[in-house]
Amino acid sequence: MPTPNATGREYDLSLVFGTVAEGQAFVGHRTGRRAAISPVTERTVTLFSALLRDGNPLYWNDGICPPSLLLSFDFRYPWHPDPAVDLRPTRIFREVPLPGHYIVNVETDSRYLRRIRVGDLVSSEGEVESVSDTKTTRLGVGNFIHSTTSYYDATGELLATNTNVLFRYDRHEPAQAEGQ
Amino acid sequence: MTAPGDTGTAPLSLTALAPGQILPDQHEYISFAAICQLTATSGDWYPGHYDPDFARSQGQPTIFVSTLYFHGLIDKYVTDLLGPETFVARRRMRMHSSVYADAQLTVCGSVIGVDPAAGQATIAVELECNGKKPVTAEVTAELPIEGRAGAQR
Repeated sequence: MPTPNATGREYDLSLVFGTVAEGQAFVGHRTGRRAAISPVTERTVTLFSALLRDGNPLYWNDGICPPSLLLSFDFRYPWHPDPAVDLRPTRIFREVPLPGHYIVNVETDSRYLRRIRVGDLVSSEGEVESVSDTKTTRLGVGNFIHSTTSYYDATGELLATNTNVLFRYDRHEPAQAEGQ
Repeated sequence: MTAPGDTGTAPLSLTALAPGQILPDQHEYISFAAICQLTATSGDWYPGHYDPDFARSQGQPTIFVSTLYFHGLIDKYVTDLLGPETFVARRRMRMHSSVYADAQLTVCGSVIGVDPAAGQATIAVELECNGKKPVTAEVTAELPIEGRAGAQR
């Protein structure tokens, strides 16, 4: 649902709003396994490598996907002709009900079990590990969300895991949860 | 600016690495357009990565680069130095502050440890920008060893 913003525009951030208590009660929630919309493509691999000016021949010639693209497999298309396709973002931190309207990533810990290849259809499943009490940082007032996402190939083999810490916040005073 | 895939030197082998060793710097530049292109390529459409007004509304001076870019830059640094066959087994990264459009970055590294039996090296990587270190990381890298499949995973 589009979220009104101080810019006067609306953005579909797919954030769920609620109180800090509701967010902390969300700890332990899992997304269920959701597949990417499409398999890893050569175009994505080479274009990403081009933007990084990374000439690694494994990426350009051998169909190997840079491990750094792992987190991109969570992102969804804005639209799909098949209404049965699940377009909900798989990033579990977006589903944690909290007051904050902004996010900034803080920490990642990615472990890889094998190389990801062009043609792999990656599925992911996330779990909320913890939600901090309200903290004040240079950017604003909010909560740190600690989550873990596991990534699998089409056969169900575990490819990688990523543990993530993200700050969800509002500037200055905490915003009221939507609908309250 | 680093030419694609070219560090100017041959990849370092495990036997050429020692704890405490300082590794060569790489210099990178990230433009406004490149941040937007990375957004489109990765699918990370958080508006702080392409809309300066939104970024300002969240307390940032302009659009900022995504986590995926940092991951890519760190991995590129490691595989450029240790060779393209190097397998990134683990990357731990902390973002202390954001990096904005039109930034000049220096990627620095040093060797934390070497485990020849496991074919692994642990590398500390830091990004420097405007006298600050917005990103620090630690990468566990598996290097090819003849007769071992580890780095071929």
